[in-house]
Amino acid sequence: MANTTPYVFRKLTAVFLLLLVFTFSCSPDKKQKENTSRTTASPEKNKVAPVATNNINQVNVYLEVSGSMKGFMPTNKANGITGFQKIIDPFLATIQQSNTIQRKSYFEVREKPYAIDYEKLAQTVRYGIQQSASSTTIPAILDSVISKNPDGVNILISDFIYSPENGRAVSFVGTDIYRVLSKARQQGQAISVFASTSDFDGTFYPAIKTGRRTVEKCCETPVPYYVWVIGKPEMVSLFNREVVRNAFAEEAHAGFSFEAPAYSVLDKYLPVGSWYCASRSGNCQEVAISDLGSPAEMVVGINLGNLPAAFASETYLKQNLKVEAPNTDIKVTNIYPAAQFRTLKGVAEKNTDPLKPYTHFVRIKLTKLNAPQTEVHFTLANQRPAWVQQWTTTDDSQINQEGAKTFNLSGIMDGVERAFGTGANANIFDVVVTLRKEK
Amino acid sequence: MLPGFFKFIYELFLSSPQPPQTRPIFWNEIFPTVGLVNIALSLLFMAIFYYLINHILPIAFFKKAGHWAIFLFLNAALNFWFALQYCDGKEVEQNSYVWSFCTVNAIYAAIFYILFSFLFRRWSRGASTTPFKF
Amino acid sequence: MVFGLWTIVLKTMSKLFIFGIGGTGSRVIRSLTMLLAAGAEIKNCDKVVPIIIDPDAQNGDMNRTVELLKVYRRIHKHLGSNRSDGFFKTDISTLSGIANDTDGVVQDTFVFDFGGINQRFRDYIHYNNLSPGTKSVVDLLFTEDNLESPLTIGFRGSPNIGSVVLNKLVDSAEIQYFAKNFQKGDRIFFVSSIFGGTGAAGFPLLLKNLKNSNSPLANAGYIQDALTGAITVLPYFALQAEDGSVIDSNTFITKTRAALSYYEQHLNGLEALYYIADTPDAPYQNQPGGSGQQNKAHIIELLSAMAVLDFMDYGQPDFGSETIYHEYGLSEDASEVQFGHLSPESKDKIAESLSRFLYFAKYFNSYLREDTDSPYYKNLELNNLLGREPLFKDLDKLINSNDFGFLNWLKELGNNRRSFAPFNLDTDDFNRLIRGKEIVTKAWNPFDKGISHGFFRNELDATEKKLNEPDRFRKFVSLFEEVTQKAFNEKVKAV
Repeated sequence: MANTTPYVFRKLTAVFLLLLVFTFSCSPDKKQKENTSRTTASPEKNKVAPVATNNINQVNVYLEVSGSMKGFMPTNKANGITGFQKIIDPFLATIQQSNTIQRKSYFEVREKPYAIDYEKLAQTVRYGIQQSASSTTIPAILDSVISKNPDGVNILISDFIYSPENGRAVSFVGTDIYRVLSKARQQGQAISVFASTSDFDGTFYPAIKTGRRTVEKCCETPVPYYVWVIGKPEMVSLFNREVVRNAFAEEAHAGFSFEAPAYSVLDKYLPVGSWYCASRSGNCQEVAISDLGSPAEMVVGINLGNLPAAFASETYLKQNLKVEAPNTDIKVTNIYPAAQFRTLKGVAEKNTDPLKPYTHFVRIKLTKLNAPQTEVHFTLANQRPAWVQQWTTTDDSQINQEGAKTFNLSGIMDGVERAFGTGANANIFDVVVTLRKEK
Repeated sequence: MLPGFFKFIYELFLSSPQPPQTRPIFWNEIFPTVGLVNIALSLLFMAIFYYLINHILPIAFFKKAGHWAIFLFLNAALNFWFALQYCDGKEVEQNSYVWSFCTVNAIYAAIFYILFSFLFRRWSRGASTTPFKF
Repeated sequence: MVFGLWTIVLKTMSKLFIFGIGGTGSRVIRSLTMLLAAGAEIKNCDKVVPIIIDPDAQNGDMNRTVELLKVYRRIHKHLGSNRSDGFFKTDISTLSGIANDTDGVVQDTFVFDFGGINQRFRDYIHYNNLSPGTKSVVDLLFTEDNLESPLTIGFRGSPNIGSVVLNKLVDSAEIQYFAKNFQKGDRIFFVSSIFGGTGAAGFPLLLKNLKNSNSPLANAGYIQDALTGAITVLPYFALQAEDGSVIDSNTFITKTRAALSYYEQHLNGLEALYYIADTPDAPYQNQPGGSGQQNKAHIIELLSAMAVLDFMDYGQPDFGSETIYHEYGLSEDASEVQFGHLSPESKDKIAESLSRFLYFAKYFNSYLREDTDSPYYKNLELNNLLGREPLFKDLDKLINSNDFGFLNWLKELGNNRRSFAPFNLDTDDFNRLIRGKEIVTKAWNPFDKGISHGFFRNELDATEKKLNEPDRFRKFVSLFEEVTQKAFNEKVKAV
């Protein structure tokens, strides 16, 4: 016995070691790895890396000083100053003082742009248009603005009332705008349109001249005005961030390609059902579903901090953030801004540090998955903002009845969208979370 | 390879980690790390008992089966504690699954210790027949 | 290279026949056996054949020597003769054991068989059938007491009786058998006392008869040529004077003087003759013979046993035609003899082996059973063997027997007026065991506790792994040989 036992024992040892090696080599991990490496690539196709920039070489500011603008910059207002003056004067000052901008030029647009120094322009804004000029058409102004400074940023401040000589040309406003802005797009430029309204003290020149040619001593309601920012997308973005900030009530954008936002399934917060993150590291963008006997609910954090504020607003998101995945019944149950999410029960008591990278939290729910694997697309459509339609009128001759509207604004925006190929089908981003059934 | 091995051995006794969202962290981090530490600690305890106390030290009077068992329990307890701490460090809530896992880890610590004891004890001078000869 | 094949020398199995005559013979053989058990080296011989010649079959000294020899032989037999050194290394055999073709004539015993001499001396010499002239001579030589004494208790200090009886020894089956198996190269050694009955008479007679050139014995030529030594023990003890006792120690000197003058002329054929003596010691209890004659071991006997070792140290060329005479002296007249009092030559012979065997014995008694958790203990399955297996029982007896055990022997040696007391027998501390050679350890150094239980246990465990020996008893003994050697070499170094 004494001699045989060590032998048997040695045998057992060998068998154990063999087993060890066997389990190591048979582990299902390899397949997992292949899966993850494939899916992590998917968000990258959405990503258009913008050229990083931190200064703008040239900003040209164009202020229309036709008679129609005189109501915003009256010379003899009864009391106080107009909303326009309140906003535009500091706006111009910000431009003038900005270190981000290397060179600043200022123009008054009459029948064509005339260069003017900042002091003169500021005087015009503050103390009113002394001598109103005859105006020129919007497409013509745009054309000259775009041509002059294609590599910088051009600011056009105008009421955008398009009044062509030939009254019938009004119907072709979209086409005209499209023609002009196509050139901008070819030059790789983008447009941000900021809109605001201001009290108006003077003569209103409606586009529709079927009735009165002018409306004297206008207006009883505020009148919209617009600031167009045109230029290279990265410079426009920078300008918007640094200079515009939240100066204007509404905005619309065209010609931008937005960086795909950072996003991740957050498995520690409010998870329901039998699923888990299958990503190997970093952001969780692949989820394994073990069992759908009970519905699965998960929260996806998403960072919309780099988007223009309009796109990140709660109402815009609720309308336009779409979550779709074939072979599932996935739906969004709620969208929370970060501050709100942090106060939810089940979140507030946890370490919220992992939430920091995200500005919004989308809670989704599904009860079935009919394929081994599916891709959940989180898309945000680039919809024309609602205010455009609201601010549009087809007849501005009775401006006091119409209110704060601009003639054929939607037509103008049609042209913009046509020129930049954006519209209902264009997405601001499209990010993917992969769902697969656990093997 | 390693995560697969430890997932295999822990899930011989345990279900898949609960809640399900903790599975990746269990599979990819807790199981392999705690498992490796378990093996290392068991090896260490074995080495201390068989080679430090009962081989290198000149006075080897700590070689009874009872002494060996003390080390076995110490090892199990330490591994239990480590598993608990590690889960805590990985922000896994202390639910019943974590406790079960710690218990299973302690059991494995005992198993590894016994296994290593019988694998390596033969070269120990003073304890090559502890806990018993066969 | 071709020549190499022819140069293989077949080593002959040379033997040493030791005739231990009388009570002293038994006692010296006892000490010799102890030395051999402890592993003392006896050179130039492969086998020691003690033949105890004592007609007193009840003699206590003889009986315990025989018991010791029997136990020794069983242990040695199991351990085998192939070991180059160590405890029980030397083969001690009975006369009948030296040849396998025993025909049953000679019994397998260490003791010469005097057959049926349970009769009175008067009957032994058929006194009543003697002619009146012869009767007169007999009456002149022997007292009435002599004639009436029963021979079963020996010759009670009466060489005149012994010489008559022992002269017939040469005709016995034992001596015939001895002669038949005597080979070239074998040696003979006689141990006797000069002052006793059996020894004083038997030694010269036996020598004369064996060395007789006209001897009718087989192999007479080899016997004549054989290297022969003898030790004659001169009086070293006194007996309590008891009125009416047949042995009176006051006559020892007279008897000795008479015998010596005889030896001077009549001892032929001896290569070496050892004389040993001491001033008489505390009187032994006067027991003329029988089981009552069991005397404490004495340093004289130990030194006599060493004479045997000394004799065997010499090779054939060392001897001439003349007898070489040896006497023994201590380097100092100490009453308690320690190793330091012995000459270096003597010390070399016994100090290490006795010390090592004592380590073994002490460990065996005091520590072994505490080691139940040690690998060596478990691997040898000592819990099944100790106190159960016959060989382990024998070993226990050899160490612990109150009668013939090693420890008792050492104790007895230490209890005489001139005592041999090299060990502190009442301590279990190995470091203090060898007197005059205590091992000093430093309290601050836990790594060197000298020779401790732990030291031995570690070494036993370590050695057990290295030894490849399937037989447990053999392994057990080898283990202790190695560890005691290591302890002695590393910690004691030299006595």
